[in-house]
Amino acid sequence: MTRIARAALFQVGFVASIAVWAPVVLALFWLKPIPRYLVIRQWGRFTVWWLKITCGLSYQVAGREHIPKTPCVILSKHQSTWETLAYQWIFPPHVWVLKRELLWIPLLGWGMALSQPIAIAREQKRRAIDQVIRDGKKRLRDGRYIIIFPEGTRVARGEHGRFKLGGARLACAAACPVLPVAHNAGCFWGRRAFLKRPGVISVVIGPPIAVEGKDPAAVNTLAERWITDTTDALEKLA
Amino acid sequence: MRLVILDRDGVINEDSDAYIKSPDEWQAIPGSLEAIARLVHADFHVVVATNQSGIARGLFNVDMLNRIHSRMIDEIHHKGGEIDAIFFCPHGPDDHCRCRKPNIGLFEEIATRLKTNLSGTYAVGDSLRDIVAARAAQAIPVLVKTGKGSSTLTKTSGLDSVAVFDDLAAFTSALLGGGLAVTP
Repeated sequence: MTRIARAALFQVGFVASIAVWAPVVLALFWLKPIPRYLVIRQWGRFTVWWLKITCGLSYQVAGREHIPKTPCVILSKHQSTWETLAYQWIFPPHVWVLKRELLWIPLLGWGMALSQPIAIAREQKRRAIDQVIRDGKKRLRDGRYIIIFPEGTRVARGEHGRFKLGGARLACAAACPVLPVAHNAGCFWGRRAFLKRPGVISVVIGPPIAVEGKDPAAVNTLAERWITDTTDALEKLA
Repeated sequence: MRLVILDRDGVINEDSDAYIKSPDEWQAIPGSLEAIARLVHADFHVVVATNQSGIARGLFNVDMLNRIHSRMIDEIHHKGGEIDAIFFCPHGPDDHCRCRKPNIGLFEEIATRLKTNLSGTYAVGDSLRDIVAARAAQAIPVLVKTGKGSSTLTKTSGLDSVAVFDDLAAFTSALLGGGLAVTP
């Protein structure tokens, strides 16, 4: 089977899975957030499994032992849609910081809204940072990890965006560690690419960065250095 | 099970950018064979996990690899050591296999064949590939400076939590001397 047919098959299953899962998730509006999330994450698990079946693209995770037992701020490289799907299964119950426009997508967005994301208006920078810190602290207290893609958007393989301070500021304000995560998903599933390359995506979870005695800029720099260096190395391995 | 997993090129024998294509090109790193013997005498099982993309590249075939490994095993026996098994990946980078390190396949195979889980098992390598694969398999990565080890160390950040030793002999001394937590 050609790669186009495989990618098309994946896409059909992907869209169909949204049509199936979103109404189920919406019907569970009355559940507490974490039990509801346990249903939502099955969707992420399905899509990643479906990707392996259709496109021969699987993954492996190194450094799981670094995930703290209590909620923290996870800062990750963002190269493709893949990590938003796979992380649902890899990490403990978490919420995303995302642009609020994503919640306006029919079905997908509505389901996402029920996962209690921190939905920010990107154009209102000042307010967005305040919201990340305020809502982030609340979610951390509720037992949720926070996933932030500090570059703000998907960045092509081989490139790095400026790491925004929000995640590090939240971690310092909440006195919880920052967990840096690198991966090479962009080498297999590009930023807006329809075709997927078969292979094994490597996700590497780094040692947590303690915030005590550091200012947000210092925490951010440490995370940025680890993530960019590790991503560069993983891209060479892909 | 007391188990140690070793990469081959750059850990047991001198690495070569031109690949190890014949028994004559296989030259042990000084002290590595004795280190394997010391591990075995301390009741460790030793297995090898090695990428051999030279096969996919057509530089040598599996017969030749077996001859190279015969020489390696002979030399190890000579020093009183033993290797339980050699797990190798014959594929190249474009074969999309699951066994070529940094992928996890060789380690999964080791765990299945030896009916053990790898948590707490040390996996010694000289490159980032070895570290990523070991981590992904829940083994404990160890980096040695022989082979590509020194350049891995200078080129890669984020290795802070990986134990580093000059060579296999130094790692073995630390492990047997209690300088590392011993596996159950």
